[in-house]
Amino acid sequence: MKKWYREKINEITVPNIEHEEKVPVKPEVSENFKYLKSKLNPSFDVKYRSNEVDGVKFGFVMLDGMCDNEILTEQIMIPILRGHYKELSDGERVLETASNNISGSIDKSIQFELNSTIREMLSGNLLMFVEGSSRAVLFGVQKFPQRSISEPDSETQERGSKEGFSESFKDNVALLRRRIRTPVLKTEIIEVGTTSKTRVCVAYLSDRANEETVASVKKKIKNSTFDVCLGSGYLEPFLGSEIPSLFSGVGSTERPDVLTAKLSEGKIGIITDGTPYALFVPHIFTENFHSLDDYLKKPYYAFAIRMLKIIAFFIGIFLPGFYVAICTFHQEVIPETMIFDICLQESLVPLPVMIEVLTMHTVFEIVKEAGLRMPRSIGNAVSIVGALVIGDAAVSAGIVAAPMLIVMGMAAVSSFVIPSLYDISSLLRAVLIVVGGVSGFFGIMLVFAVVVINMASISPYKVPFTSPLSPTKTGAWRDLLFRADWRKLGTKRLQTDRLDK
Amino acid sequence: MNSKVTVFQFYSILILTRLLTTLTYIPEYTENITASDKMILTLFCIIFGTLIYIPVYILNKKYGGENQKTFGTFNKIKAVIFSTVFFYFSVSTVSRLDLFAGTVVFPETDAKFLLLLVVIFCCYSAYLGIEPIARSAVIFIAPILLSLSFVFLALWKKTDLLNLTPPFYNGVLPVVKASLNSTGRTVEYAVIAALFPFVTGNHKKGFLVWRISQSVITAIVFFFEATILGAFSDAQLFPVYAIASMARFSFFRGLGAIITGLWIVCAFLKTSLLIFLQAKLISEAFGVNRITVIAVVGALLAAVCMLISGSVERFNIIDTSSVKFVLILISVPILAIVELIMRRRRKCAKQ
Repeated sequence: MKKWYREKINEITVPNIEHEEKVPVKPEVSENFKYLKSKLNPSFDVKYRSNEVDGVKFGFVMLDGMCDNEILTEQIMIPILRGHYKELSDGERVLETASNNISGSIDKSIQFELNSTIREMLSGNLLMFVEGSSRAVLFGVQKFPQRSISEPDSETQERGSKEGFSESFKDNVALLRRRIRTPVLKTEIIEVGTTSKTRVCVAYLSDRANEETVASVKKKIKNSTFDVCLGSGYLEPFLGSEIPSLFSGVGSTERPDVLTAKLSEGKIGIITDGTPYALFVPHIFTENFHSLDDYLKKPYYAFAIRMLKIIAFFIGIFLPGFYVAICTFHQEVIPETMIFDICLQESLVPLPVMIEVLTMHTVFEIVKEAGLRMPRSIGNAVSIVGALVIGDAAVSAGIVAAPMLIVMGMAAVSSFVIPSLYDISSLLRAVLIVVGGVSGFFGIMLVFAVVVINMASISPYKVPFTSPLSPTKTGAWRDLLFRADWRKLGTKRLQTDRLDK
Repeated sequence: MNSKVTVFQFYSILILTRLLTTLTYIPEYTENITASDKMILTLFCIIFGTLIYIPVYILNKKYGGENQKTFGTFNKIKAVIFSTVFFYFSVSTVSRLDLFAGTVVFPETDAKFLLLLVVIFCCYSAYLGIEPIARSAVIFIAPILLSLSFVFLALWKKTDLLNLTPPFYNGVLPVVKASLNSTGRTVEYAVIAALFPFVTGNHKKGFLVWRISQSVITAIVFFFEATILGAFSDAQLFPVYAIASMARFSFFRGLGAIITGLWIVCAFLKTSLLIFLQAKLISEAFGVNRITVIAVVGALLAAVCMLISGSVERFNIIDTSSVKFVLILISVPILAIVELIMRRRRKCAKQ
């Protein structure tokens, strides 16, 4: 069976193999152009120019739309074209003199191989050849079409900064640098994706990040195997726990201030080019209930909000399941008047409670998904249709019971309180509705116990996902449910790798 | 097994597994003593339990750092005996859960499917290892104890001290016998013996705190049972569930569902731990793949429990037999003493 399935996969897939031949830069500009054209033609956006300056032939290659033309003209082309090269003996010295004429603010790098040069040129660098030189120079003049830095959509804060990560890799690293102005912030680049060659930045504070964890993260990123990397989510399975789980040992944020806070605790940040979501490891479960606003407001308020989030999380997961279990098996739990009301309403509905709740859950997920994928203006209309037509009309028509709709509505709204756990809440809710209908509290508790044990097994960087609850690290409880005052919290920082067993 | 658990984690598991025995005990199977005398019984249990623990403690204190696999044949015998004990208790735990589900939760439905589900989930947890089980126990212990306290607080008004009988109402001997019986039903001593080398921290303190707190919890449970049900407790199949069902708090009517929840979580952890230990012992002693052992144990457990399911007579045979008594009360200290002697002899021979 396994073999058959593997064969079926092989029929439609090919392995991601990197064919990288090492081709040295040739002394003839025309030969280099010929090689590049053989690799890049018929791409219309690659521009080739050759100029003769003071008796020496120069060759330039660039990607149209990816370079800053103003910098290119004023700071590179003009100084090169105004240079005097006649007296220089060979191409190597011309190349050196020409690149030395360029402003110091421009990034320069000498290249010996054409294959690696192509990759850099395709990233928006200007490539320069000189006749008679077996080297090439790359000038950093990138200017991509990019979205400006704006407020993060998925992590809105009341009092926090309004800056969020964008798709621009360098801007994201700069946002981080702006918040940590010490040399201990290290940013290392790793390329991933056989075809995409996406840049991934591993950021950490060298004075507190665990060296073993840093090495492990870098190794896992290097060993990640895919063809094209289009987002940080591609890396998540490689960085997370090897045990299949609903939860992930990898955190994600859209906010540079949040990532800064994580780095200050000794965690490791992973910024992927082209995505506004940065990852961080190790990630622990209780972090899902914390937000930046907790630290910007009074501790007692933070405590209340965290309590609210925990309650909302449990309501989001358990309430529909409990409703089904109570209606089906455990009527004795709730007051008689309430159970009579529910019975009265449910008796008018043609479907069994479990099917009714499951149907409403599915309908809600469809409405949510439609609202998310549609253009915003239509998305709002979809939500209204969902709320009014499906909700109100279904109750009036006697297809669903009103108490059930309240339960589902409460669960749905509650699960939005913690966006990072929404997927898990939604999935577990559906499972618990079925289990509650089939086996009551018995099944619900059993599934809950399995989920907890699965959660407790996640420990990808020797920091258990359930820490500091279990293993119990009471020292870390000063910022668990209750957050201590900054006068106490500020004196000593949390060291993540001490949350191990 | 390289994973280690802390004393706190370890004894948290044991509190929960033992709590399960307390919450699910069936009066029919205990000696002829009054509900009030069961509170006194817990004191005797501390003494008998400590007597079993002493040789295990001495063995591990003196030779804990030595290679555990030194005595090949002895280790194999030990693994087989302990695995039998653990398998027996796994069957007892799952069957009792099945009996409860079949008689209380779903009296009109066949609960075999749930039984199978429990075994599969327990095998999965055993596969994950001791660390997740231990961590989960720490997560569950506070909510479980709080829920239990809530149930007892809700029951407070229903207690009647007149239901208590004088100490040793039927004599001292039945209480001592019942204590021995109760100690024999405590698989936790075998768990301590099997896992001792893999637990870090102060064992002696951990054991004493566990044993005393366990006795206090048990005594509290029996106090409520005795003062609420009195002599009627013997007529109940599951007296703790019966009193919880009588509890009223605010608009809640009957808190039996809480006991059901606690029961399931504790049973799940206990069975997972026992399957894990069987897999660990057998795979280490005989060099068999751990996952294979888990699968075989799971299949056997499911088969035996299916056979027992739906028949109270078959359950009686399993649960009332003296096998547990003999295996726990005799084998744990004897095996520890034999190993102690063997290690001492080897040490003397070397010198």
